[in-house]
Amino acid sequence: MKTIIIKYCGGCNPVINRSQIVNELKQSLPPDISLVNDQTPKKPELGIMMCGCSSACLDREEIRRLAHEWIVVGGSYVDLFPVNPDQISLRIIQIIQEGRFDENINP
Amino acid sequence: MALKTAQEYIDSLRNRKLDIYMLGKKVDNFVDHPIIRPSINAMAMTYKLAEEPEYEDLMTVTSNLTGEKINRFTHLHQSTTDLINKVKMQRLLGQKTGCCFQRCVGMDAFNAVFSTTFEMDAKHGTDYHERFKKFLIYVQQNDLVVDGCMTDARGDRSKSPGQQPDPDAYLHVVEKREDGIVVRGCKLHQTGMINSHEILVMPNNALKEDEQEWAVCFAVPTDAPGMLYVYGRQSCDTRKLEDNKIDVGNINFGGQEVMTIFNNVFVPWERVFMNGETDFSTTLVERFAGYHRQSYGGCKVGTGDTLIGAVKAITDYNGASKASHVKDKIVEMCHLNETLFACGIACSAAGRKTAAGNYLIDLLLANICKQNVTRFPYEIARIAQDLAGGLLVTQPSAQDYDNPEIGPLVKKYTQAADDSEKRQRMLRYIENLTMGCGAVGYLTESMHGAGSPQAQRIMISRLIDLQHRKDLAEKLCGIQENHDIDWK
Repeated sequence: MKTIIIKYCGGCNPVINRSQIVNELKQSLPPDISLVNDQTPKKPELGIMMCGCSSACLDREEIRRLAHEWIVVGGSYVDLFPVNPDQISLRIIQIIQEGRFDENINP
Repeated sequence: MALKTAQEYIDSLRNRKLDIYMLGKKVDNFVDHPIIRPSINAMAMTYKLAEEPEYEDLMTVTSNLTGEKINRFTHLHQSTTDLINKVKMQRLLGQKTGCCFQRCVGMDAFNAVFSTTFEMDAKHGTDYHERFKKFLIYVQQNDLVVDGCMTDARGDRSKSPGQQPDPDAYLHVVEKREDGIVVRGCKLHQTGMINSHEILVMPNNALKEDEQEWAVCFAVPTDAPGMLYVYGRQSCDTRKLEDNKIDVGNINFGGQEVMTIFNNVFVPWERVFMNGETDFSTTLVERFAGYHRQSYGGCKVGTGDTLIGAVKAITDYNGASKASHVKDKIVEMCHLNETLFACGIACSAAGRKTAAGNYLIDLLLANICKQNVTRFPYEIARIAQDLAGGLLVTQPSAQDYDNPEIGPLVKKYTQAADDSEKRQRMLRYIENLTMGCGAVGYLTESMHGAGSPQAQRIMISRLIDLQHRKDLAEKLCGIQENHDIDWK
């Protein structure tokens, strides 16, 4: 079983529906990949920061230490480039498929 | 070191041959012209404070491009702290000059063009970003003033650039050559233009796919062949031509707005940062406008500080400062002014990193900031006029105060709780900011600069998520199920 750690910002003023995006990811990823919210014994290859707005206030050093690589969703931006909100989960999967991360987690 | 002194800055303007017209005549020596010089003094203050150890923490920063110490006005913001410090710097300069010090538009343009060119290159495979970096390094290393140049003449407001009977209504490319482009058009209201060394031109607005000739961003020196300048009039501007400066109000400083005509100006390719990419015109305009709307949460606050100080002073001189309503009205002025500052700080603190690496303000909060700026300075000015009293607009001229025959009587009858010259000067300063030359910057620029009020309201309506708010309300009153409650 491979894991991707998902961490959320505090959600004070989100411009996207973060939990809906994560649900879309769960449905699109293969069953041997689990999405977790807590630290795992083995540092995951990939983490996803789900921030409700472009400030992406979660993107801090102590969070980055929880995984080797990160995809940062900040409102309607994914890794600092604008994405239509209803395309965010697709864009995340696309980034994973582009092979930036361990091939074992490719869907 | 990449920092000029104030004197070096002023001397650097003397070498420039600019075609400037004012009051129907060509201006030969603009640097020493009494109507223009106060605006140069205000700009020079951006250099002077950078020389001072007392202010260097705000005024200077290490360049991410060269590693050298540079003036913050030429900096690419590297963090939200940088964005906050920008606003604080602007407040400081507003306090020191009591007017528009003109250098912000360039800084705001740098940051907008830097991130937009990066994203443009990523999509279109162009090389604008590297070109722009070279230009900006040149600006930083020579500590130059750059006019960020956006607002076109715009002709018939109901028509887009491509529909205008005169295509020059919006600045556009009229010729493409092997070595560059030729542009023609006019940019209005250009703040500090002739006090600048370079011009960074951006498109005015969103463009349609077939409006490529108007999707142009470039830099030229202010003394490029074909550049023409017509100096904007300001209320009471000819008072600056009088020997006694008291009636000017702000003795040494003032703003500057210039009609800027590009009469077939050549731009070499290395200075072209957008050429036909209509799909990025909106991004560039929104980012520049956003940064500039943030700016007003600093500069207008600093000027507001001086107006509040002037009102405190005049009420002291009048003997009215102990009245409870006077104290309360001054508190209201402070509340309004600090609210603007809070907005400037907030949109900075909530800023974000761009793909290019520099930081962008929170666009929604920056538009909220500017929307308040279109209103609060007017209310602050109204209270200032209330507390100043009617002599604000009926006071005799400085020449009458100086006249050996009538002067002693003028002084006798304008004497209140303090020296009559203090009242004379302070009333002129309040007049300057609320209806004279200074009102151009403090009031009407607050209304229209960085976009008129409706422009912010359009952005607010686009950026605010009303469905999210509707969902919140529907959950609270039981129309939607509230999944947050999982306890008994």
